[in-house]
Amino acid sequence: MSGAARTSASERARVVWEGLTNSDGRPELIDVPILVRPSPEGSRRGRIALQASAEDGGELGRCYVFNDEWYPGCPSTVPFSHYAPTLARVLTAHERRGETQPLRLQLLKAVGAMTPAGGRATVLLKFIMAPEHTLTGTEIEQVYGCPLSVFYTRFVGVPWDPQRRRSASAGVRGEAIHGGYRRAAAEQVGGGSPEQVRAAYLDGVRAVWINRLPNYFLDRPAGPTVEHTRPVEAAGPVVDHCRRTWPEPDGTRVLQERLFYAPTRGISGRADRIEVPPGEHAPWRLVEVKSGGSFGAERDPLTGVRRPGGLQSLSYREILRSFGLEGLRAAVEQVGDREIQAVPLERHPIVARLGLSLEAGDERAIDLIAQARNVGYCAVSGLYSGYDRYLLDTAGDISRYLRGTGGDYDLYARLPPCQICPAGHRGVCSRGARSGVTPLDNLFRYAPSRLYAYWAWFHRQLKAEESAERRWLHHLVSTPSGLLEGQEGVSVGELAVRETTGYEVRLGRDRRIETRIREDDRVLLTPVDRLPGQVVSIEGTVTGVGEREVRVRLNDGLDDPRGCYRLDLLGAFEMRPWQLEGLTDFLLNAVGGATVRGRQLAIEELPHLAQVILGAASAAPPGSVPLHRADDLNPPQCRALAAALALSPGELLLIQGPPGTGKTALIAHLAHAVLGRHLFDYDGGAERRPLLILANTHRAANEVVRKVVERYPELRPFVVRVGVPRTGMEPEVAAQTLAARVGAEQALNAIDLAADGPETLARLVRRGNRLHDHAGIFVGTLGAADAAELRGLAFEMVVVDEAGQATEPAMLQALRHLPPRLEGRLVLVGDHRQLPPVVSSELAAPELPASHAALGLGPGDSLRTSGFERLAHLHPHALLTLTDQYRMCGPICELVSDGFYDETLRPATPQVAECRLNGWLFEAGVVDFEALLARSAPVLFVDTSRDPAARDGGARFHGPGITDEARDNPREAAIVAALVADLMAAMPGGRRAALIAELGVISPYRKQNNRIAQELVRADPGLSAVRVDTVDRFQGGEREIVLVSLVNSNPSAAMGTLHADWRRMNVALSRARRLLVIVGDRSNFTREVDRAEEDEARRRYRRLFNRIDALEARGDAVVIDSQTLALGAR
Amino acid sequence: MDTLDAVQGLLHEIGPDVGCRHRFEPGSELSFDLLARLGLLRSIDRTVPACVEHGCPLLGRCAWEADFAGKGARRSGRKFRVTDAGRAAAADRRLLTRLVVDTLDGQPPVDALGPEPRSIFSLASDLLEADVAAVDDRTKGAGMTRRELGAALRMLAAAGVVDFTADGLEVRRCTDGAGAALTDVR
Repeated sequence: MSGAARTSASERARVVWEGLTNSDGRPELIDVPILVRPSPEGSRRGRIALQASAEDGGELGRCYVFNDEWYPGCPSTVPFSHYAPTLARVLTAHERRGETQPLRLQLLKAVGAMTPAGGRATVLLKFIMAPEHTLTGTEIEQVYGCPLSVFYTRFVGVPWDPQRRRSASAGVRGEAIHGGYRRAAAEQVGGGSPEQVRAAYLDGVRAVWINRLPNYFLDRPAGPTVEHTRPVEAAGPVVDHCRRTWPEPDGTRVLQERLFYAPTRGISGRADRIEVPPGEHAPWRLVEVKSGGSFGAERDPLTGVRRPGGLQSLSYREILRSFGLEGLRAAVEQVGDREIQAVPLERHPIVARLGLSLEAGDERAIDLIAQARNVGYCAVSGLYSGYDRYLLDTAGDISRYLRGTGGDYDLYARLPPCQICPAGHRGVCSRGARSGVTPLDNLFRYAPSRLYAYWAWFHRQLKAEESAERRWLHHLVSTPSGLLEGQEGVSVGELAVRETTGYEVRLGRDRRIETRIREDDRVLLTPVDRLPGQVVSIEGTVTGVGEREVRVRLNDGLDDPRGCYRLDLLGAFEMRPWQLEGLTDFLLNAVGGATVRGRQLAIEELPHLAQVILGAASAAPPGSVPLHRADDLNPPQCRALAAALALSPGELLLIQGPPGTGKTALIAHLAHAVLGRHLFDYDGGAERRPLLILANTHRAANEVVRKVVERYPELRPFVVRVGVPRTGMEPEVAAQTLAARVGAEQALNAIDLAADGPETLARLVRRGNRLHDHAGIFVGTLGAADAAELRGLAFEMVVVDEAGQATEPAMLQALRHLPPRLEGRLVLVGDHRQLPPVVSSELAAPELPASHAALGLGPGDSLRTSGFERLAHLHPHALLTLTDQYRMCGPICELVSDGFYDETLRPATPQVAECRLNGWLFEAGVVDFEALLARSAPVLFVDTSRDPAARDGGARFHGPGITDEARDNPREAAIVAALVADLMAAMPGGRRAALIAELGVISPYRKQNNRIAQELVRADPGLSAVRVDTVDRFQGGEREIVLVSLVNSNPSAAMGTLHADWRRMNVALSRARRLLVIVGDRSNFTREVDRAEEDEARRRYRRLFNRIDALEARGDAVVIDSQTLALGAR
Repeated sequence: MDTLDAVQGLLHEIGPDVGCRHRFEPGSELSFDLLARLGLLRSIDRTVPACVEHGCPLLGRCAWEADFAGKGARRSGRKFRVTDAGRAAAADRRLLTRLVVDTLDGQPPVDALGPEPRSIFSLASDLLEADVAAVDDRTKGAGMTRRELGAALRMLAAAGVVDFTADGLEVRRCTDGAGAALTDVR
């Protein structure tokens, strides 16, 4: 919390506390944050004794919490109140976890009670626990429906079985109606005619249909169904409703899908709509739109009608009230066949059933929200069970209310929505057990110890990451913006709007922008006089960051084009926990695939592949089969291909592919061979398919698709790129998505949606069904394991590309689509000597008992240790390495091979070994070879060791989890720019674009990259198109010429955390084909320093520079002192 | 053992009992639908016996067992009995070969095969196109599934009508045709 805010909150807390101490013994509704820790006095049954302090640490005094909200002198209690038992659980869990920080409470009601002995006791009655931990409105509603479901799905991570075909049409129908309604409302408020409003609605429906079409393919309609017709039929009611609600433009503003967050309530959400009428005192109106789906909906006690969205609306209303918005009106709109029914919140069934009164300060409404929020916090954080196997297994034994949560049972839904909870369907939850599903009784206790230890070790780390994400919004609103911008680089302030085009906005300021925010980041744009998340913030995605401007694509229209804004990085606090789901799915499949049930399992009873992954069985050494028609593969590739084809079900193969060794080409051959082998084995609609390829990134997945269809055009009809065409997807890749193959966009854009939409959509779906039936190769990202195209399918073989960059839980996604008992073939392709997985913060991994050393995890391992790396160490005999590379010329290859691959890497052909830049330049029409780069040997090292001007600017950003220290080195930037400009000057005008396309500049720091980009433009405006990027973003790319700026040069020889991971330099150097230029301070990286964490990196840097010396001695490298460079001489 | 031998072996193995596609099809390169179309098997569409009733050796291990134990799942077209023609073909390879050639050789897309090798992917692609076209035309489609096509080609290869080349990835019509196969039956 910021200094000023903390002082203010602390002052308020002191005033409130003082007031309580002197009160007349009557409870008071208050709203202040305090910190509490267990009092040394100790607690006893029914009473918790606490020591309270203000946010600034100032002591407030002792206080108590009693069961049932009792306090000395109270006239009556609140039976089954959740506050005391839940707080007791939280404190116990905190103590068990060894947490030393006090617990934050947002105090809502307390009393300065008079004891019978005449003393005073401060008693806390109602409060929100740990409000810095955000729960979304959807999660709150889920807790209300069934806390046990939240525990299983949000903490344990029980997912739906992706091999079960599960319809998703209803979801798309709802989205389509929402999408259309949103556009129609914006059009109507903007003064559109009825025709325009109707057209806007249909455009919204169309956009959703195009983007979510694969979800419809899970159904097999003979003709249009209600899922197809409803969105079109809803056009009339939506348009009529819009016209009735906003008959004339009256200055009402409509804020749609705005993110809002109450730091005092620990709840975030997005209301479908907030209507802000003109006039300062006119009440705002909050609207939640529902278009179907009665599971979990509250039933009206009088009419029996089901109404969803009640608690969500109540929660959002409470958030807005916490901002000081009083007199707020709220409603749930149900989109029906003929009309939209707007049900005011006070007439919603949830309000009627629970007898709530929505007047200000209604305590029962507060209890309802607080209970869902507090119990939800405990459930998603695992505070009820921790990693106690007994508690994990017995969580639901007593009732669906989670053991020991206490709580007022009246404040839960009458019936849990088990139909939409995966825990029952997977046999984990005995309460929601489904017929035909074998229950997994005592899952955690019967799992072999090593399997459980493996699950728990990764689970803890994933939950720690998630917890940090959930606290992100609180961090944003409680930290001064200057600190967020200056120290952490996650905020940019004082931005003015330079240009808006639709929802695209260009923001800028005169001061330089130095930030960690970059392209594709999710951000929140907020007026500078407001805090992020207070309704007026608009979400968006960054499309570009320049020296003094940022471009953002917003999700809603800008409210004030003349305003001054701040831009904040938005965390991933509400992302689906797909890695957690993959991890738990592995646990379920391993235990479910065991040969016995009903007792503790021995690890030998698990499926063979699970044993291999857990180090209990050896992976079989690579086998071989005769190969035909693999002329364009080199011997190591052939060996790897033959080994992959020789795999038996349940076996694992690891293929290490150093840079340029043709991993993707190998995968393309494998795809061809596997499809050929299984082409006639599967029928239309069959659950078993030949091959699934999952990559760590969209870029890698696209590259696989491109390579497969380019090398084997005859496979095109059978290859599916999972997902829909995305921005930046190459046309030949986009063409392989099912949406593109059925011609969705053209077909839906060409018709009158109102007249022909449902029929056209149904036809597209039937066409998609056929294409899907015949498809044999599916390519997607690891996060897409639950994608519609893959639901219901198991694969003979699953290949994971870039496995070295995937966390282990992410890699486990691949196993979700192996046949039952994991009896499929698993091929991991990657390189653990290139960049490791990206995790959102530097986490300390929990200790793993020594008895589980067989897992191959030791000190120093964490979520950043990829599954590929662990398995390569565990099963070295199952690892094949591709050693022949097609990218780097001889000297560059030698440098990389010596530095990072124990001299095993070699050029695949003499042509590769001997290619030189001058040959390429000559072909490009260059006749002037005077430029230093043009006449250089393949390796050029510009040493800045003796150059006093070439020192870095020091680390700018500090903080937990910040690895990019934002260093820069102006002198190195100038050298790089001058070298490039010098070469460019020699290029014939018509060939400059070709040179720019084949030139890349890399440094580990974004700050340095910004500086280099600016220097390049300064040297020659035509150089603005040169790609300047970080190592991490360059991985997978290559260029004829690559310049690397090392940056770090300082008196203490600090190489920083980025360089300390030597794999980063491997990636940087191995991007170059013909010319590699390194600019940096040799001594900074080779000097003896007393920092153990840098030892390995320094050893490799020494080897690297020694090899450059050796190359120089034989004329394959040039070493220049930067002080001798005559920059700009030409 | 070629595919026709495998067909005869299958018919012998089923004998008077029930043949379940979930037991016999996986890994066999045969298609029960195609064998039914050839008249060698007859689908049990009424009173489909539960797995325990015909003593399936996969009891307790088969993922489909539950479908036949209760109600709800579609059970027709999944269990078969051998027909009289099947029993005759099981005993007479020549008869089986003639049946295969007479029934399958003229069917699309086999009828389009010539002496030039064709990629199996392009044949499969023809099936796909026919299926997709049928969506718009509201016609039946290719009339043959991918598995049936594979089984048909393998049987025709065993009959000497076609042969596979390029490691099984291409197929062509034998220049001496089925006549040779029919006169050269083992």
